[in-house]
Amino acid sequence: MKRAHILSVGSALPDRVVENAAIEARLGAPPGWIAERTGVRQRRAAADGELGYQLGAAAARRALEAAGESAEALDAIVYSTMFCDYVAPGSGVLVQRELGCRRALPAYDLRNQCAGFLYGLSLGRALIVAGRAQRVLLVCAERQHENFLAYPGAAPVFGDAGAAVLMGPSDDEESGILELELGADGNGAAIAIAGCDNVDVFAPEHRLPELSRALEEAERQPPSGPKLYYWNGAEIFRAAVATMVRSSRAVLERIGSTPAAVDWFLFHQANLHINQAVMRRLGLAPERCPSNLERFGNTTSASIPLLLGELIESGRLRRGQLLLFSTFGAGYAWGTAALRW
Amino acid sequence: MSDSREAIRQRILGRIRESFPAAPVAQLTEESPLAGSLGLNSMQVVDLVMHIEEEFGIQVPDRELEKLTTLGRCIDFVARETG
Repeated sequence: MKRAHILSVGSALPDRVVENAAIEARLGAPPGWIAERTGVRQRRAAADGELGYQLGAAAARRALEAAGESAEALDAIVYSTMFCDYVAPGSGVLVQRELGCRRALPAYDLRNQCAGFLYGLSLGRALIVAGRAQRVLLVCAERQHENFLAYPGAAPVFGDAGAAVLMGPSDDEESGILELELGADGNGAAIAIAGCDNVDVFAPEHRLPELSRALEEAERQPPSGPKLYYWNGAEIFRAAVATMVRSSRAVLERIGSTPAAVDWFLFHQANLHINQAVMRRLGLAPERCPSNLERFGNTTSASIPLLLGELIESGRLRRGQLLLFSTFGAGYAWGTAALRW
Repeated sequence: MSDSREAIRQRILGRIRESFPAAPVAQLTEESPLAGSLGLNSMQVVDLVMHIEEEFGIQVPDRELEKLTTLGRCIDFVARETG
């Protein structure tokens, strides 16, 4: 049976490093507050004029170079981001343009926030398994740090990054994506929300019914950036831990495996305490769960491919090893995948 | 203190020891705040409540979550839910 696989990974990180001290001073928080609550110690921030699609294109070039492939070999581009650079055009076409790709291939734009990489992986897999594509470029690029600076609950956490994976058919029957599960639950929509400029979420006609309490809180926020940012930490924590544990067990069960048989767990990097709670419940040793949260913060859909790239670069990932990716984010939206390298 | 209440208390304390090995459980009274007494942040307290849910097979509604701030309140909730 033909499987889809990840052929190569590329990443692009802004040069500018923002340490916790700068944000703690801005928030009036004591030293150590951010690291203790989130696990984040520093994050990257795009330079002025450095847009998200440029980070994505840089990561894409590196993924293509790593695979020894040309952009002309691509059959589809899938682009995932939380904050697009332009309302129009979409970001996938901008990566196509940056790569100098002259083929009129489909360029998809996904907005599944922290679940974007798994949603994109699913789409790439479907195209490949259906025989519609031999090479799919999945780009996850997030330029978000500055957008969240106005919101004390979010400012400590989010960082900027671009990561890309080149997908293609597996070259044998053992390797590739073995199983993949996606999910969504719109009942969680009001738990983590950031508005767009053309939607005044304060206005009664735009307001989600569950948001009354959140809007009272939002009226204390400054007006720049998204009109509203609301995040219920306790509810997100519970939903994330429960879902990632359930989904990880379900995916492994479907391939006849267990957590003990997995070599590497690449969990979305949102919060140290969420991941520690998931690891405890699955009985995982920390050394099997790489982390880059402390260095890059929450890079939304780029976090898992960034981890994968680091694992490859370090030489720790070997052919035949079993990986599990799992993520949960705003929406709610989530995904888990098992992949044999 | 009834046997069932003591049993609930011991099971909760057992979960705390297992999940947060560094937490000073011996100093915890039923009235002392979980976060302050055990050195847990707000998310770790939520994690603890989830462990209690798993231990007793119950669900704590979101609106009740923020009320479970002491060991005593957790025991009371579990006792009510488990009859």
